[in-house]
Amino acid sequence: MTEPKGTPPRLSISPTRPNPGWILLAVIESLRTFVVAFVALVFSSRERGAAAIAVGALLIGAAIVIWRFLQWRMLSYEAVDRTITMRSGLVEKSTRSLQVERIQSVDTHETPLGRLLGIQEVHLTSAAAGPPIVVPALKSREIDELKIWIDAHQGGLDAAEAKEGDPHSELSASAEFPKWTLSHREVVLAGMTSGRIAPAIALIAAGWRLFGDVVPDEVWERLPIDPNRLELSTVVFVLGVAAILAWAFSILGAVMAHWNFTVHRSGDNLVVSSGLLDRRQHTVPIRRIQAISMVEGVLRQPFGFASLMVESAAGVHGADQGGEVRSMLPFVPTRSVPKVMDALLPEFAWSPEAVAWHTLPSRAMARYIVPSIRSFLVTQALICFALFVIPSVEWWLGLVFLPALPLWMLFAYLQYRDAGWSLGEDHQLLLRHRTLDRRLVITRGRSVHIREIGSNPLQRRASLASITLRLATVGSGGVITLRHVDRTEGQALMTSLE
Amino acid sequence: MMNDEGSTEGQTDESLQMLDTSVITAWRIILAGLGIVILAVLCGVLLVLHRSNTLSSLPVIAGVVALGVLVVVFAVWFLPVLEWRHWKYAVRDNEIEIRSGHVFVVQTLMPMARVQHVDMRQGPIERLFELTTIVIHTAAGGREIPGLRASTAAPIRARIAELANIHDDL
Repeated sequence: MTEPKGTPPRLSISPTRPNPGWILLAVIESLRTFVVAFVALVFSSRERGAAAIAVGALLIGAAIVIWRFLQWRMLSYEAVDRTITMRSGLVEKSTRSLQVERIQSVDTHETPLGRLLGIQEVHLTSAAAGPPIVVPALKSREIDELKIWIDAHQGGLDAAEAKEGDPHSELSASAEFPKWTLSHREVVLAGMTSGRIAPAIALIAAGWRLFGDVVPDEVWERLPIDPNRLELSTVVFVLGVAAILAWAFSILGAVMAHWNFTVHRSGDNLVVSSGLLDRRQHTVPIRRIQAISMVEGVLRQPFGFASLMVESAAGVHGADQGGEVRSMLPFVPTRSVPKVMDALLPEFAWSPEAVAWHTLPSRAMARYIVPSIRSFLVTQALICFALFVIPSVEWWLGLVFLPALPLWMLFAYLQYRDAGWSLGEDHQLLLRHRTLDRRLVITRGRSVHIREIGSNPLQRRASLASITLRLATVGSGGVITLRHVDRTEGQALMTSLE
Repeated sequence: MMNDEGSTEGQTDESLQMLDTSVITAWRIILAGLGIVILAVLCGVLLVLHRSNTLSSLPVIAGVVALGVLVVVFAVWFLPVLEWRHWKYAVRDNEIEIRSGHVFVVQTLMPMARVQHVDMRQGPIERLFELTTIVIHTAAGGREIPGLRASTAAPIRARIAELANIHDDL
């Protein structure tokens, strides 16, 4: 979607009904829920009563069309006096209003059918909890008008806020920022290394169940697999096929989500667009960004790749747990990240050479590794005990996980090695930590809302402490805990963040 | 800089306030209620084990119950006192500080500029002792200062609200 410049903003948008194409989309959506029931009814009735079913289906179809038409008649949105109002509802009327200064992001969503009709949905996300206000079925011109109206009315607020606290706003207003895109090869690589196979496994499991229900028993009986005599090679083969399928699905998911991915800066907003079938565009105001997270996944870090997340905040008077997390760049060479940040978000850019890291003291290493060994051995013992209790299973089979202990210890060591922070003179705060993935959170000292330092007696004896910093965002960068830091250095950080 | 005890330079421990002593009794009542529930569950489990002849020895059952009662009495009597001794707070012009915990000692700092709103809350047991809890909200979550006399809580709430409004930016 283009954002026209130079068009004078309208003072207000009078009550406007969305495009009539909404009726078609809504009717199709309703029919989709009926189609399964209808097909089942046709197959179960065979030839008897087919005419009655057809007449019934026609009547239901006609009722849906009339119902959706009447609903469309009740839809309207307006933008007057710094407030956007969306009205809907035929039986139960609903009016949702949102003050322009509460708008956190303006997103567009375009389905394949909507693309044919030339209409998109606009999602207005506020800082408060609850679903976004959705303005459906708008033409590009209407979306541009709405965006210009929002920009124009937020402009006054932005200027006032920038004057108070944001030293970089002048830069964003004047500078030209390039567009960053992902090539098709990078999108496929993003899927290959995303490590997100859990949803794919769930999909395969659901597909397997459906397959099992549909395929008749005779077919199963012909398979050369006896469920009562499963051999190890068969189990490995089935698990291998499932893993490859899950991997393929995760690649497909990434391609669907990140195809034609672009991120660019438009004035004081970061605009992210992507999608193969469903195209989405997210607009995040820079002033709402609390932190940028660079995530180096376990499959990506060895090859020097990472992803960038943007974590934005609730409003000044918003709900306690507002904020949202968006993908800023799902796949990027780690060495290019400073360059990307410099080009798109200079407010959060940093130079890796200039960072003075505070890492954990060597006496903290054992406190990472020893508990990991302990928890592994306890889990191992519990598994063996559970197998011991179960009749006809040998308890020592539980020891199959024991070779994973060195890997477990390696991750504990990496957690120790990677934890650290750096607070620059300009109060830019870099926090690095690891669970499985290594994360670097880039934020500003003023974005830390709650800071805590705690210690147990053993930590106090070794002059160590754990620090927790809470930012106004719901993402993984929202709560950062660094365990076993040097107590004096930790307390110095607490003081420096005032 | 902070000294080894965690207080900031120029802001000595003298600025830290303790909670009202009557909160100890309030905490004891809450803990006693919890203890009674735990003891009731324990007795129920022992009764089931006894009925099913898994644990038939009455002296052992009596011993377990006695030990449970002792632990609950000890916890009800001592834990609230320990908790009260280590619970401190300070409302300064630029930040709110809360310290708590006797084993795991936690020091929490909330910049006044980040405070979004402040609430006062009073549960039935707190009402019995005329105590109030102040809840301080930021966009990153909230923290509580419990066990304050209503006469103390109201001015603190008003002060936080006033100071937070002065620094009203994100």
